[in-house]
Amino acid sequence: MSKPYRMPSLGAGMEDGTVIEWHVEPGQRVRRGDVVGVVDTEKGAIEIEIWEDAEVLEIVADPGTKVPVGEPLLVLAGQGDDDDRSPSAQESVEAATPGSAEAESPALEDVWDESEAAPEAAPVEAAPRLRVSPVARRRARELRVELESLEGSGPGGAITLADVESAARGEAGEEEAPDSAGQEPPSSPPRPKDEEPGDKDRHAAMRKAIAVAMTRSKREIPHYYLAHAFSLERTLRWLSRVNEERRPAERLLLASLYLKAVAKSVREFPEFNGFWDDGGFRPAPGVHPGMAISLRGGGLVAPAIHDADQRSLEELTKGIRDLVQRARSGHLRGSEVADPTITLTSLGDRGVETVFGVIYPPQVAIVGVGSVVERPWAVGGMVGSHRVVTLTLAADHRASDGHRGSLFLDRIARHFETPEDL
Amino acid sequence: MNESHQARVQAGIRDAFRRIAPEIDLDAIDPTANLRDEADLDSVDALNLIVLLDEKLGVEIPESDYGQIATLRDMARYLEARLSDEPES
Repeated sequence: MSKPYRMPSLGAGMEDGTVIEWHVEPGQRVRRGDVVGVVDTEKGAIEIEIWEDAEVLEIVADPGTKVPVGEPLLVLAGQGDDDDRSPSAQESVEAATPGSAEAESPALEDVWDESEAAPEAAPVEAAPRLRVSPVARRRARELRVELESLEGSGPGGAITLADVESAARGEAGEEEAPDSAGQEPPSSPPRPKDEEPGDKDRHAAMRKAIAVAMTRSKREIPHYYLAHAFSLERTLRWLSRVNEERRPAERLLLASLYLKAVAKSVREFPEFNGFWDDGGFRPAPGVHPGMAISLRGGGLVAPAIHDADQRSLEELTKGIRDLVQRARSGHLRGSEVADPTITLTSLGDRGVETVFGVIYPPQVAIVGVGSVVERPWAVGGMVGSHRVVTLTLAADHRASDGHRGSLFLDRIARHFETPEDL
Repeated sequence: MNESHQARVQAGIRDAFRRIAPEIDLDAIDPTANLRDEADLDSVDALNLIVLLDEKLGVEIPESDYGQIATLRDMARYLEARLSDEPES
């Protein structure tokens, strides 16, 4: 039975997206969680995933086409037909299932990054069969590049437009010297040249998306704010001890402790984890905190770390490292930007002491952590020097009250203070 | 200082930066200024940088040495010295 694969909604307020490229072609079988293509949105270039095993029958929207949310992109042949669900509901339900794509998120080393020109980006194993995106196939014909002679750098060894173009320029990945860093790699996936939106446009689009979301937040959400300062001395000593014995790749980030402390606390305080829509609170089935990541070119994204409450600190650290690196290079996935259930923000370890967040609608809470500062701190009648951090909560007063908010914040702090139990 | 070490370190730092901060022009960064401020690196970028330097150069930088690699120049010197400690392969 055939059915359409539609333009997913990648967050509140998204109206359409522009197809940049496809990683699939008609006749190709795809598996649940596969990245099938890249679309350009106001959140940047986002890799879109498929949510079931299926076969691609037809590509409806060619690269360069602007497609409204909910309109067909591909025609698939799969088992059953549950197309009556809206794409956004389908996305968030599927993405909320434990074991969804993010659970198998590749380690940092395996992250596909086609802006990478260095030899280590070459795929470790050859693709079992030739996988070529349609746009790459077309370009290869134009440039008379033999596809069989190429090694793909896309997912599963798929040959991408960039592979074809670099082959045509005679710079196969293998031959490139590692110190050819002088030339700037493209910071976003390739697109048809005539469709190239400049960085300025991209920033303007992202600024506009932030403006819409934040205006809606401040207009509709009655925020209340709480702050709680506590000593991180014990936590930081524990963290140094743990990291002292580990190779860099195994070291834990303080942010992973913070993420886990919030994720565990949220299970006991579900009124902070979910969405306010249609005049009521809808708790989220899973805990998928969004990590606010500021982009150096300007702007902000807050992609989700899925099922953070069920993951170890090691897994969370790898997840955060992977997410930040992909956010920087423009390779976030649809499921990550579509469905955070609460947001975490940190203005970094070199910034200010306290951050008062603005809730990202339709979420109902944002937890902030300031930078760690050294302060005189009294314990048992003695004043000593402690490293202190201030946690804050901005929450939607329609969904929760200050009393529960203060208990929630206190619980996060307690989890934070006992990292060995996280 | 050994020239091949110097070249390896420079290439390693460039490669690492291309991964963690593709939008930054390393040549435009003052080598004597605090790198995290200059390049606006957060703690996640900083750990990713340390991991990549370990992968590319085989130099494990302990957390307690982070203070010694605060600028690009100090980082290069530190890495060159650590490479020199190793027997030539």
